[in-house]
Amino acid sequence: MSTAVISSTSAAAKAPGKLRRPSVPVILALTWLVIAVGGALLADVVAPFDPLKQEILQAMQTPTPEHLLGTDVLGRDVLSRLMHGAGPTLSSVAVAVVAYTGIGLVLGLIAGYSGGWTDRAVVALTSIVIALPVIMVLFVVLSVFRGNTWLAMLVFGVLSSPIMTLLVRSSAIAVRNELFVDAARVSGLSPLYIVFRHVLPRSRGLIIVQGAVFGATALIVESSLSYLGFGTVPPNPSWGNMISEASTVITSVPWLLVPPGAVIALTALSLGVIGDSLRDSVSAGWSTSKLTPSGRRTEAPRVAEAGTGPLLAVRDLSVGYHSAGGIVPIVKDVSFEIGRGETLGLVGESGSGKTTVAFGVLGVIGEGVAVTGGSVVFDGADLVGQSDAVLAQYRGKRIAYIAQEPMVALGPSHRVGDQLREAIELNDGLTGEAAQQRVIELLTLVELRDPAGSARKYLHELSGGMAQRVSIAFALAGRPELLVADEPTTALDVTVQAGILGLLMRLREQTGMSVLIITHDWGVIADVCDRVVVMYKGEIVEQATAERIFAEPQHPYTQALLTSNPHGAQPGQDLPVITGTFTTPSMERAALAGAGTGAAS
Amino acid sequence: MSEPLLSIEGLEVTYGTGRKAFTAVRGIDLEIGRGETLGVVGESGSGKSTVGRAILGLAAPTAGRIRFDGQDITRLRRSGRRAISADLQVVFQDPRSSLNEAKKVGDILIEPMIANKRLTRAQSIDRAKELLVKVGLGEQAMDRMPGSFSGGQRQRIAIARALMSNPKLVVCDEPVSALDLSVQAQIVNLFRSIQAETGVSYLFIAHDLSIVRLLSERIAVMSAGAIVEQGDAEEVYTKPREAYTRRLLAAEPYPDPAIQRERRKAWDALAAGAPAA
Repeated sequence: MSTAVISSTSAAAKAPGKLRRPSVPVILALTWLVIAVGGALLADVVAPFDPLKQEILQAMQTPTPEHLLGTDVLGRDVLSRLMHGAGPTLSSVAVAVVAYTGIGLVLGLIAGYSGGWTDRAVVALTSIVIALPVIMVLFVVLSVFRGNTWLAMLVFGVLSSPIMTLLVRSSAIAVRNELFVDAARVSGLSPLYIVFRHVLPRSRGLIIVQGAVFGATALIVESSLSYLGFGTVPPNPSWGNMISEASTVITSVPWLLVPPGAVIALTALSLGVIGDSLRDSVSAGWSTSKLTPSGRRTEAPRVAEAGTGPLLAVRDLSVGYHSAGGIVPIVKDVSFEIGRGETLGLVGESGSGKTTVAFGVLGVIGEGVAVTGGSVVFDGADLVGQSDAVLAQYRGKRIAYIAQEPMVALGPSHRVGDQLREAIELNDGLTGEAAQQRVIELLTLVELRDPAGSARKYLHELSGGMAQRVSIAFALAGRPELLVADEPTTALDVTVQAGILGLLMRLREQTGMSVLIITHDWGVIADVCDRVVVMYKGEIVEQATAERIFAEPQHPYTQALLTSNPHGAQPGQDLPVITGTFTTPSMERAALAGAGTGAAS
Repeated sequence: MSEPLLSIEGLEVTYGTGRKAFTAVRGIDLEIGRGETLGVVGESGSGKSTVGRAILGLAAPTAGRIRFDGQDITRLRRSGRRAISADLQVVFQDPRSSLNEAKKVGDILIEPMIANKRLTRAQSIDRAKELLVKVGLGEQAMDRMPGSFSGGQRQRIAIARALMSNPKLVVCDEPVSALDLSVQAQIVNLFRSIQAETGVSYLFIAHDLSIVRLLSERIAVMSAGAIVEQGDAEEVYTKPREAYTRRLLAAEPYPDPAIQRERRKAWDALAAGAPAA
């Protein structure tokens, strides 16, 4: 249940079009941009003075009630010149941004969506353009068309557009391979329609952010060009040439630099802030709130005598995450044991908390989640709240883990054997020939047909089943006493699954290790498990031997989950379906407590 | 005997050209009657999904013929695809990626109808609401984003989308493989009740024989790009003729420890003679 809460909140955060309430900096940035653009548009009406009117007698004034921002060298009103200068500056920035996003968008979408030769041609073109020296080209353009800032900024936008093109292209490629695009194609929708209605909306956030950031860059470039005398031709004002003029009298009237400098800085900053906040709202779905592990304990672990009792004893383990309304439990009061050499199955549906329990055992429950109570006693030592240094003596050594996706455990860019040898050197301290021998020994142990040949292979050269065997070899490198296997065969074909499960059983016989296997498949349970723990909504509803759980399931949820298995079903008849909800131990306790207080009163 | 809804003869699909060419399927012959379900079973890489994609026009056949509803659709252009898209629909495996996260459920359903001018906006909305009720989600799902639904619920949305145009054939590419056991049962039942009501045909692709046999009249077993066995569903499941099918059946673990122990012994004996995966 609690995991459902997680997924729905993250999904809500990801939903586009619903930006969170803007923060103060964003409001300020937007306000400034409105003022700047408004001032530029209404300059003719609002500006107090003619920007070209010289009054030599009032030259170089600091702010006065009449000239709010003072006057320049020739006695022109600075505020009026700023407002009139905003037009050329901002419009040329707009030209650059439109060229940048327009070209980037069109080329990126075409290249990314169509692929093949079109894609290669576009990528080649962008590479050529990227190689051009932008500033040199701008100088050439401005020397030929002197003072034509719009043209210069258009060229700047075009020359910078490869960045946008490549970004849009990669996001279009990612979307092209999504199944919903296939579904749209099956519906006979045209490529153009698919690009604009399906691909473009997914790239929207990226485009807006890039556009805003590029706007800030373009503003600086435009101002720099004006400053260098390549932009708007005096006496007409632009923000850049105002700085240029002010710099000539920097020693006598330093104030003159402040107004144009401030508006340029403010505008660039505002664009940056808006771009940033848009990126944040686009990626909000992936960020998790940090959390201090509230359940972390500082006292030394209660060390029972090692070597006696069960290998692993989980007692009242609770795991939760912090939210605005307090701690939301994911796993509640889970207790179970695994004996030495025993295989325990943890069965449940997605969201039942079975994987969280496994990660709790491994001491890696992830960011934002914490153990809120209980203990995980491995061979007498409590692992809950231990530092990473202490846990490192267990993880990968005495407790090993294999994941559903073997690809996660293996790096793609090194040979399998080299990676395995690294793990062996780390765990066993073996080096050289001895380590290499152990590599072959482990790969033989997991029954790969050509151990030496497999060791020389890269991950992508292995089939799914072979990769899972290699990841089991990794797990065995530390000679573990407990192997935690999280859905180790779910991603595999049934024939491959049968092979891997058989291997796990033989390995257990040979090494005497215990196995905690997490699965949703009753067939896997029946195949390999001695005992079974059934989880539902973060709690254990039943645990029993495998024989007993199939023969006499006690809890209604276990019964329902067993009957929804397709094996027992008759063709042509509906499968039995789990309906409604079931009572969990904590609900029963709450009901009992409620009844108790009721009786007392 | 009337012509089957779908017939495939000698289908071959080769991806890439030259040295990189890879033939995914070859010599495929299949038929699906009206209102019938054909199950296609095979392991990953057997080419079972490629068959579905070729029917849908997502993979280009390099040889053979596909006839659908009296028309040759082997190499249809887009306008032809659009014309038959109402009759031929799809439900994919991955309920995460098969719905556009950026759109409301209602828009996902009505969009193809409006874009292809099949229904007016008002008609599409009515139809979408009706189908959301039919698949058990209710009309209020129209205004929600796909992200706020669970895997099973999203698969229901994908099914509703496929049914919008009242198709004659729905290609179901592993539609329940990613779902929990209990949800899987619900979706299988939903497929069945929709078929009983509308007479739609299914091409039901899966890797799991025990699921496929529940929905299918006939089953085709695929391996390495070819069909190795095809026949009546119960016969294939209970009396498989081919060694490959027997291997596939023996590999499925049975949810009973005593029975499974026997099956495990049988499997180990079978596996001893076959290459390890």
